[in-house]
Amino acid sequence: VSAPAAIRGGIVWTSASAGDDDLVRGLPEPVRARALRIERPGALALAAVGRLLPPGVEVRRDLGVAVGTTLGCFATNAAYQERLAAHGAAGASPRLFAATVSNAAAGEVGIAYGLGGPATTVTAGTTAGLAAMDAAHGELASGGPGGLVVLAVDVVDAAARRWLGEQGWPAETPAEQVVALALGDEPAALPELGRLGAIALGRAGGQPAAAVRRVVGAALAEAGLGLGGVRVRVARAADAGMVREALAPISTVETPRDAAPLLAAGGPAAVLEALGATAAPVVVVDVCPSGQVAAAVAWSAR
Amino acid sequence: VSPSSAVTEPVVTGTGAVTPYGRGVSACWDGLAAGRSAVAPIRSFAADDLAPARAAEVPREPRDPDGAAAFLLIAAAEALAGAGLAPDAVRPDRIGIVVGTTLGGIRIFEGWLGGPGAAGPPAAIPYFAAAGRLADAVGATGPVVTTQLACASGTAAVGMGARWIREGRCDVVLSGGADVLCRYVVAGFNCLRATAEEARPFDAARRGLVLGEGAAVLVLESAAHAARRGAPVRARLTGDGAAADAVHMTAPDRQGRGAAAAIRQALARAGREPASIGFVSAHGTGTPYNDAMEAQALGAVFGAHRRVPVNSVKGAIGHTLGAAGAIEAVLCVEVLERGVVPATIGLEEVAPECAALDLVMGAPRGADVRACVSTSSGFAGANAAIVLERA
Repeated sequence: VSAPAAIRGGIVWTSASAGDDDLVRGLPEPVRARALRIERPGALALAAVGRLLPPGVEVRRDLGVAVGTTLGCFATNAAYQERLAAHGAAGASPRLFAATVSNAAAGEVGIAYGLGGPATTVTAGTTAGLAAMDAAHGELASGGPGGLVVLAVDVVDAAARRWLGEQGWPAETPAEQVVALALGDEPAALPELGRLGAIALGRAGGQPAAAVRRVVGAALAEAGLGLGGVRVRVARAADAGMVREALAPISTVETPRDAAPLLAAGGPAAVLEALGATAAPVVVVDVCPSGQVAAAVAWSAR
Repeated sequence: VSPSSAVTEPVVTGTGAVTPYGRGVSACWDGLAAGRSAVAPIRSFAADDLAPARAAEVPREPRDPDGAAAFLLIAAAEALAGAGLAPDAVRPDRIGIVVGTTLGGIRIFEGWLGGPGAAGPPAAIPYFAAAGRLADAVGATGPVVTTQLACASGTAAVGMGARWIREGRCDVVLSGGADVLCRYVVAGFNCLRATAEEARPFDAARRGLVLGEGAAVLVLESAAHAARRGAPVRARLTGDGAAADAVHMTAPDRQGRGAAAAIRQALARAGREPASIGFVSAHGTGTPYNDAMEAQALGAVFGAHRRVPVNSVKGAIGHTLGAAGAIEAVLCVEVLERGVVPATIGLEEVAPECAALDLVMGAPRGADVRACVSTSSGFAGANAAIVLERA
């Protein structure tokens, strides 16, 4: 796409059921109050951005937001629909309906932190987190804002967990999961963790191993690298074997530390985790059960 | 080596649409040209407790559990045929898919959760399903993404597709939007008091929007790819922009700052001055706040040159949500080619706060348009804009 973009800050937060106190701890008061009254995906986003941009970090109004989500507002969709089904049109909740759009979290972040730059939300199965990083990278390369906050957020309530199970997706995933990082030169006060070189996205078309080879190859080529000397890390441990075989003779594939697989947060979390390890470049591979594949190439700042 | 901009310039070689006028871009254009409104009492699902209970529905297609995806596939087939492009003639990994939707897939969600909708494969519930289904249908193995910027989703999808071409990552992108109506959606907009019996964009008596449904797809190609296969270029997609209001979740910024910023960014990326724009396809929902906001935004951007023709098609085909931006982009291509701007159906007396706009009303207007802007806004303060130019 263009010159590598700086990866700044970085928060990975997962929980089986975080209490409100944990969620809003340390947030400035107007944001804290907002987080407590809105739907959970938005609240998670506010909490993560509050930890990424602590008080004192100057934020420009043209900073953008890019959100990736696997499930959108599935839990809110379900809550709204249940009331509608039970009570007819009179049961339709304006408060819930306004939060049923998948870009609700991006909107909440923009309002709470005054971010008026481009606000994009994307879904692409579990690869949505890397797709959001890709969208942000594209904005920067197109002469957009000086930086974007990238979020990957999902809330897995009982209905969503049932749906994941029926699809054969990772239903044992944490109930609340959010990753936040900044991409670009702003906010300059955030520490630079590394550089994002390239992201490639593709669809398996029934041949996931071939897709992994193709997408990883495209990402590395765009970053000006070959597989030699590059670490390979998967977003979900369950994919390690397939990725190892697909990329043979490269045999070493790193897996995430957390046992529980993440949804959209998996890709960006793997990038952040990899940046904290060694200085060698890393390619993070995310393979979604839907057939979507994503690969991101990053370098540590160490 | 970065591909040169001339080689990777995104061009439009095919368009397709499913609208409340029926299948096909021509059906949509003819309906608009005739000044006919497609808004009618809701027929396809129980609406006895909905108020208003009117919408612009697509004439019934064969039932598909995922109506949004069904519309999308029909629109894509028309777009590919129009482009003279067989997907298997393109390297699969060089074909990308980007689709915008607001609540596509929700009709299945109703059924899955025990509501009144038709039960179907729950795989269609996450909004990514329609894009994935289109990718599988055409054998695309390039990037596949769904943009979700509420009612700005379709415009954002077209902009993202153009960017993929410009970046050199795809030769062809099927880019568009799709949404389908159901009780979930209509009850939601009704309970927000955003709807009315009829949509009257920019009118002094406007009271709210009327919902619609449909899909549209544009075949975007790199100029070099289109030239290699001798495909006629119908339009060039030269700029895209997005910005947030950062003010309110459902109400627009009263000054239209986000919409103006999105338009300015699109113009800057296109290398265009506002004075060179010959037509604006407005979001124009017919809600009091949206239309006033847009008048502010367009005035701020176009300034002394604000006498640019402006229209909205939502009085005719309703607000088709995530499909709207894509349908309007397709209609912009028609305007560039035909030199005619459809009238804003439902507009009879321009609202004082919109009086500075040169609104096309009453009858279609001939206009030698070389470059135009299409703009969309949505919940959560989302705004997106694109610039299309004559081939």
